[in-house]
Amino acid sequence: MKLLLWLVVLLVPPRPTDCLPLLPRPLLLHLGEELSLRVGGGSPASSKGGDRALLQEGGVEKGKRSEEPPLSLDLTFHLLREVLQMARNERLNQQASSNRAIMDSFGK
Amino acid sequence: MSVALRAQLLLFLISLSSRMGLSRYIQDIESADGLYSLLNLDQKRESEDFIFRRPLRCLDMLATDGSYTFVASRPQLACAAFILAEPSEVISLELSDVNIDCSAGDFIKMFDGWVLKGEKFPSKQDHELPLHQRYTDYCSSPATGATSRSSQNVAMIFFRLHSADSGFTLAVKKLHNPFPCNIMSQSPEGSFTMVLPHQRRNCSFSIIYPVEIQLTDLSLGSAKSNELSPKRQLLSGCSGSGDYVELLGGNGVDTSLMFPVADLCFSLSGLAQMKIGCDNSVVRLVSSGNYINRVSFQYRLLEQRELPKTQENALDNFCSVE
Repeated sequence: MKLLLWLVVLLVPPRPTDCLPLLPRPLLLHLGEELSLRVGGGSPASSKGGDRALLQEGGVEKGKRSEEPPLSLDLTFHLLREVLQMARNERLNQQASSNRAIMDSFGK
Repeated sequence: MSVALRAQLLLFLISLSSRMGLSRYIQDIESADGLYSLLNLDQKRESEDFIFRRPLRCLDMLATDGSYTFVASRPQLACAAFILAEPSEVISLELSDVNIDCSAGDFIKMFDGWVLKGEKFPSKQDHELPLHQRYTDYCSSPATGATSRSSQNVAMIFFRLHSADSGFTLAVKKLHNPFPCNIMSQSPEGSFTMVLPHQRRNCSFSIIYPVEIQLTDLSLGSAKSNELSPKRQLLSGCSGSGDYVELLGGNGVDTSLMFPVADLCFSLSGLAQMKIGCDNSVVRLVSSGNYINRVSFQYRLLEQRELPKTQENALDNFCSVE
């Protein structure tokens, strides 16, 4: 199940260099993206099992011009924890695969 | 046989036996290798060829060593990936197969830390580098901007690609950090010991969950005397002391913007605990550099029913603490 995630990114363009063209003034971009995040990695088309619906909310905030370096990601803590849990599961699965490969090597 | 001759013969026999004796050797027990240490050379070589690979997503969190490739199927104007390692590790990032058009506004920037809602972890006060040195911009210098190493167990990459089929590959590798400072916990439960040996710096252990924290051991450098100067009396808490531990709570990742809920200036041998019902709970060790400071603590996730009740009609925008 795919859920719509509103991803708000506050972007302030870097100062123009000799090569880069002038970029627009600071602005907020409201991006709607459909994301399908799955446990265990792999491409969405090849993943096994059902999708894991993780993205249940998104933050839509009004922006303000920031004096700080330009890049930021507006993500709620809830979503951050969800992707963190997915990453941990991926790491554990990868460790299990690696151990399995090593154990198979013992049998050779 | 004379006594002198016997002594000489005895010494000669002793020298012979020492050459035949077993000598102690240093056993290199690399327990961290685990099963890997049991492999022979060919098997090790075969296992080293295996690198974890998968596509990188526009919004992603990476906690595994490996190679992640992003190829834009359409313009991707706001993408970022969080990278997280174990507390005692730092992160090495390397870009390769970069196919972007910097002149068209594409960029790939690596950040030494995390940025969330404009707040940075570690904060400016806790990180050793100035803010502009924490960013590595590939477009500024492809030669030097393709690699980055974090100062703590978190890092981040931002990228914008205007054209379809543009992309890059990111290699993530974790390196051991013997004295970790500024740690983002991977889990809502666990334990940790933070040690600052004669380092004048501030280190934070951040847990992005509401937790109960139990300080099990605290060893701080002590003041030369217990007399309080008039100036010190005006200061609240431990801020007048050289070295101390403070517990922070807040709803962001920047520790300088969080609320101090408790601080400890004296070494502790018992148990001190606190429930922090905030989105982010932090143990922060402030060190003057004059002593070896150590703090050990455990933490566990607070269930919904355990969250401290917020005060009604409270004007403070503060998460609950108990």
